[in-house]
Amino acid sequence: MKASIRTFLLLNLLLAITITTTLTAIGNYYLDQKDIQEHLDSLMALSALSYQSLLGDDIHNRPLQKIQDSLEFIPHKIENFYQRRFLNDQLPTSYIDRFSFQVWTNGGKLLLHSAHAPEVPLTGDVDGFSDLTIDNQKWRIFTSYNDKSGIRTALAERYDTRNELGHRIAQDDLYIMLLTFPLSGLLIWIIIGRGLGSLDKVAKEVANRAPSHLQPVDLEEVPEEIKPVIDELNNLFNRLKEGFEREKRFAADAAHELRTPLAAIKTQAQVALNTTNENEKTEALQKLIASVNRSTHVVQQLLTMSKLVPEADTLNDVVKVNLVKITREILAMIAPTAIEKKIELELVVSDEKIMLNGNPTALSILIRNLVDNAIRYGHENSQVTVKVYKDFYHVIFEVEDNGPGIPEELKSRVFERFYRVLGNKSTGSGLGLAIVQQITQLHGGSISLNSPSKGTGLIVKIVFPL
Amino acid sequence: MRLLLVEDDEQLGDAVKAGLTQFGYTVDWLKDGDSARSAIRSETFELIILDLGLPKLSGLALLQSFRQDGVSTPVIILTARESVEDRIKGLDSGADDYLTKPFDLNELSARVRALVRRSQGRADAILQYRNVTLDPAAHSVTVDNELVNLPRREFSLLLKLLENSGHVLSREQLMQSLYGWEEDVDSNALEVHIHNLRKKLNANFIRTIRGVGYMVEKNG
Repeated sequence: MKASIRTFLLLNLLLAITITTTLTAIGNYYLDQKDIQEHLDSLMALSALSYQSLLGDDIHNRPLQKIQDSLEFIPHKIENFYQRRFLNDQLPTSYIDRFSFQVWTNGGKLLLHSAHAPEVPLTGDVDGFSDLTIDNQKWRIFTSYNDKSGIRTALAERYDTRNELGHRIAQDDLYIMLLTFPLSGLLIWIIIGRGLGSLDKVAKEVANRAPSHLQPVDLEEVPEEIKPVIDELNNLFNRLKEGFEREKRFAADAAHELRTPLAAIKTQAQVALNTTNENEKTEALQKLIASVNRSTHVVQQLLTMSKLVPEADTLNDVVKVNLVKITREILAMIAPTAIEKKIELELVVSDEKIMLNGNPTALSILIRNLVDNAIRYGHENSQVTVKVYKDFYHVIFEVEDNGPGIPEELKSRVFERFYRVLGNKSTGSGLGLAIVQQITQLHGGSISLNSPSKGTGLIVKIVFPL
Repeated sequence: MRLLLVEDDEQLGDAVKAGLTQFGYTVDWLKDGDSARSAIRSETFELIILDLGLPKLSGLALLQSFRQDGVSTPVIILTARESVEDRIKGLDSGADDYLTKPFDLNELSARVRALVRRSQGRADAILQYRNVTLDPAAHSVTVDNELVNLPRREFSLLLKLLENSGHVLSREQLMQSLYGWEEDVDSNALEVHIHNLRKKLNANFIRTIRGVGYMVEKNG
């Protein structure tokens, strides 16, 4: 059995979500990083240029020492500020010494600098942005030179600080992803469940059926995707229903049709028991045996019929059959019965080889039934002629007897199951012609009952298409 | 006693006829509904055994038609249809009894006797006249408690006369009852049977009404 649709969808959808979100996260990380760097650069440029403006053109008249002292005190101020505002929050002191600024004279004298700023000049070769590595730390630098005062202002930020923001954003994204992952799984599970709910409904509808309930499933109630399956299922239901009905009819037919012969057998047995007359007893017993033979014949015909019917619309095991050959074989088999009844049996063929696409077993049954009927109903000292011939489009099989024939008004009725023409002394099952008709139809042929031009009798003509 | 059997099946009809003949009945057998209807209209039977699946005219239609004509002859339906609905339909159409195939010949015979007895307004199965006793079921006749052996037709003749005591039975009625449609019956046969009965029973209670027929006087 294949894994369930639910598990398959869940695993594969989660895998797809993982791949897409991971790719999104990686992409975001790089794009964020670029945005962050640009943002920080602009802040740096703005700050450096602002410092320069604030310091003015006559920096040498400023109380430089006082300003420097105030700058040294900034970390403490920040610390206090953080403690007031955020109470227990961890102070990001590390950030403070990672962001520095320096003010240099033309002559290379450091006038002002932020607390913890490195001693070495953090100035690039040119004005504007540049990168510099000091003590294995990579710095981002913005330098601005004032022509009038001859002062160079430099702002520097360590790269690890700049990058940390991006890292933290990526990390937070990852946490959120990990947290939402089970939620996605749960939601997918529920959604698939609801999607498959209609399937479950159909399954339950079918599962809760009684074996005899073979009504088709209503296609309106079924999701689009499984309609083909349900369609096929409905077809199967229909075939099963037909099959069951055939079986039921067969059983009913068999039970009904055997009652009369059984009644005859029982009565004949009791007649034999009740008499003391030897002749009467023998006669009753002989009749009893005849009744048993007839019951056997009925059973055989019923079985033939039931074997034929299941493939009512198709014919199995179709091969090329030489109709002349099998007709000859069957006539040879039946000939003794004909001789016993003093009936002359004759086969007339137009060719030694008349081929037909068909089922040899079914065709044999057809031939046997027709010839059997002709002998059964034919008079003593009469003739039964079997003809096999063909034209361009058809193969024709014909059986002619000069028995009593079938009255015109009954010709359509004799194909009904268990119909027997009244007044004949024979003991047919009433199934023979029904079987013949069935086999003919299975071979796409047609059957007609005609009367001979002279005298009484019956010509059964079966025309098979080539 | 003359019965009509309407059954289209050759072998069963033949067997039932043979079986009931053994029990001393005269059985006339017809194989289709149409001819049975004509026979029932023109002749008298003491009981009709009817198959339902008849050609030309179905058993039920036949039954309904002659009940409408006022024929009250008891009818036993003999059929392969065994559902309760079918039984009800059969009985409601005017049948007196219903037997499904395969049935027991002895049971059929007993039901025939019971129905005939009832139709004659008797409850007692055993017929008695003075010192003569006739048991239709046991097929036995006693005179002064002594068993007397009677051939089939003489037994039937005595039964018929005793059943109709007080009524004159015409020669024709008695012949039909004994022989039905049997052909080649000796024209003296009835007189011979009457003679034999009188001798064997040592009884003179079978009276000849010249030119009319025979009768047994009312019991008493």
